Amino acid sequence: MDIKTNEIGDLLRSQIKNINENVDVNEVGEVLEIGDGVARTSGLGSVMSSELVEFPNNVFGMALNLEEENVGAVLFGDSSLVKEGDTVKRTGKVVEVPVGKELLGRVVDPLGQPMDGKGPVNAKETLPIERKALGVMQRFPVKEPLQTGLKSIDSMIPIGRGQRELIIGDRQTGKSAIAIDAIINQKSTHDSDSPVYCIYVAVGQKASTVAKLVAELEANGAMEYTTVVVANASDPAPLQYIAPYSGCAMGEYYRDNGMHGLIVYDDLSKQATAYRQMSLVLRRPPGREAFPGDVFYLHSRLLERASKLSEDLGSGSLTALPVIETQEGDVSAYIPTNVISITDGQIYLDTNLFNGGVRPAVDVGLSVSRVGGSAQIKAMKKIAGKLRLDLAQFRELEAFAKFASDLDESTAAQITRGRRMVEILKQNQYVPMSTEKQVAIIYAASQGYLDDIDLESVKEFEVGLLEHFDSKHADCLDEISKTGDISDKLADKMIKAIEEFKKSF
Amino acid sequence: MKQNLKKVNIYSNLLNDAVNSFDDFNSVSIGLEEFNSSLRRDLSINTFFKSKTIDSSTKISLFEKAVSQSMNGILVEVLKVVIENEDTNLVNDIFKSFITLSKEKLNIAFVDVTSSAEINNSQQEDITSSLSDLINKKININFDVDKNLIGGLKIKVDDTLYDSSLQTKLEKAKSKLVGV
Repeated sequence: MDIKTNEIGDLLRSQIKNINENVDVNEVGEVLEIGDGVARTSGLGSVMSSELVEFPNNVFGMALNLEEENVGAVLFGDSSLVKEGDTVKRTGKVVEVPVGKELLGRVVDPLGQPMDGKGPVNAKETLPIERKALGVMQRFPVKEPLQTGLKSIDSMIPIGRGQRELIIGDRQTGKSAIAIDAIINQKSTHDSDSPVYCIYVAVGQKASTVAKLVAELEANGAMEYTTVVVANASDPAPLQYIAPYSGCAMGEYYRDNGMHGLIVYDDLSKQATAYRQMSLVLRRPPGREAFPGDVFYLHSRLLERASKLSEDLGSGSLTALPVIETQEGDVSAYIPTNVISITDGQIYLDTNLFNGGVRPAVDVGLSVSRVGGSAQIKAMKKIAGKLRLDLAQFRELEAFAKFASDLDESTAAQITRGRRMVEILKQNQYVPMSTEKQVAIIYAASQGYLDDIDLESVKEFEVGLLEHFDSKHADCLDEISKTGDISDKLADKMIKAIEEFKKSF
Repeated sequence: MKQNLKKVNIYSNLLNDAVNSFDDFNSVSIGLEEFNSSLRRDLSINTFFKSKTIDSSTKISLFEKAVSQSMNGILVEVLKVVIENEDTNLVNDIFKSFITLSKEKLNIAFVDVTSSAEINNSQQEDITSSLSDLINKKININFDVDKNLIGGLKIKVDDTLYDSSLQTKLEKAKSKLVGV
């Protein structure tokens, strides 16, 4: 096109006048240095903290360190595609992820991009990954139970909707298994009027482990109400850092719309490690165990977002099950103590119990739920009240009994009861049990009907008894399920049913 | 580190105080940039100024001989002090600090214009005056050609990029179509 010199000025003026319609206007900066997934850039004078910035080759990053001379941004993509001198653009948005029911059954990365090859996520809404936790007046005390389907947890360490319960233990003690069982058990809630939608956030895990887990969820029909957010061990540290926040934003959608959500962060130790790496590369001063000074805030601001909302806000809830891996059972390390102090209790898994065949390997003495009985149905509260104390006493007596040859009658009886209790609390993976069945078997044990059963036959007795209830006394189970309580009349009926079965056993 | 920062501030403030017009600014910034780039580019020049065996009077006299004809007088005097104090390693920081200070003082904007084809001198003058009127600032402009733009212009005014290039429009259209 031939443009006359004197026309250029007018042309430019008219073009710049309509600049917002025809021209892309961006605040830009220049990459000064790049390495280890972190870019230092000049310019970007008005960039916000946590703002998404765009590098060439479709690589995105997040502005974190806003300094006088430059801006430090972490990269969510391949840093080899960005080089010194490249232009970096502001996007004006903080990092957001798609939210909503469209994400159910999907496996996504921490930016909400699909990873399962099932096509784009057609979510209608997005939410920023970093949101302020709700205030005191917007919350409601945790009262409704969230059943995990695991006898040892639902009876002694009950979890309520809106609670934060830490799952802590060494490697290979079944931490993820508890979380997965809890997710699978939520299937039964989808037949009720308050279904629980689940989000599983895998941080720093092997891709093969996550693939196995997704397959297991699918096989158990749990993917229909679950979203899996994945930042694998091979993903850049910034993605592992934001993954729990992304998952949390997805969970908050259910909470804020009067529904119920359950989110599992598996695990926060790896997120803290990723954050440490990022912080050191960003030249933030290291503190204890080389973690940066704000590592407590990293977890506290995340876990504070799990809550039960007031009636005015729709009574929704988001329950969080963070997972922490300890080294050699050291719960007094930096990150475990931090997270223990933030959560409303912990389920402590013990290696010795696990190796001794007690699975789930819950250490009843060290585990606690600070919400306690208010998150249990009355029936469970009645029968499980003494269970915890009995088990703790049994552990003590058992250790003592190893050195004593003859025991008095009451001690021997307590040990016999304890051994049977431990036996019925054992449970296989991926077979969560309904609350009414849990109540039935624990009731039988606590009433002493198992005391004269051989230890090896306890499992068989349990299976038989539950089948007996199912086939001949389903009304008992139905009543527990409907009323949530054991009336005197029902107790009599249950005792009759148990005695009836015991005769035939 | 702190001492270096103090020194950089002293040198750049001195230059900034001495520069009172846009023309002065242009000649000082060009001279400083050239001196800085020759120090960074040419190892022998760098070694010469950092040498402990050559005394500072020799360095200064040679420096004066080399630049007296082409370099701004104010800058020559300042750089002589820099050389005398063996602070040539701070020239890059002095340059950056001077630009920041003077931009504010003299109301100058740095503009980079990138086009897909060569723009002739009269067109360049016209663009310069038009932009200067539009943003109401004196402008330090730099023209560049990038055939990848295909058509249109990219104008970067300080930290703001006005992009009307065909390349960006096509990329946007592509991402919309592909859904990336």
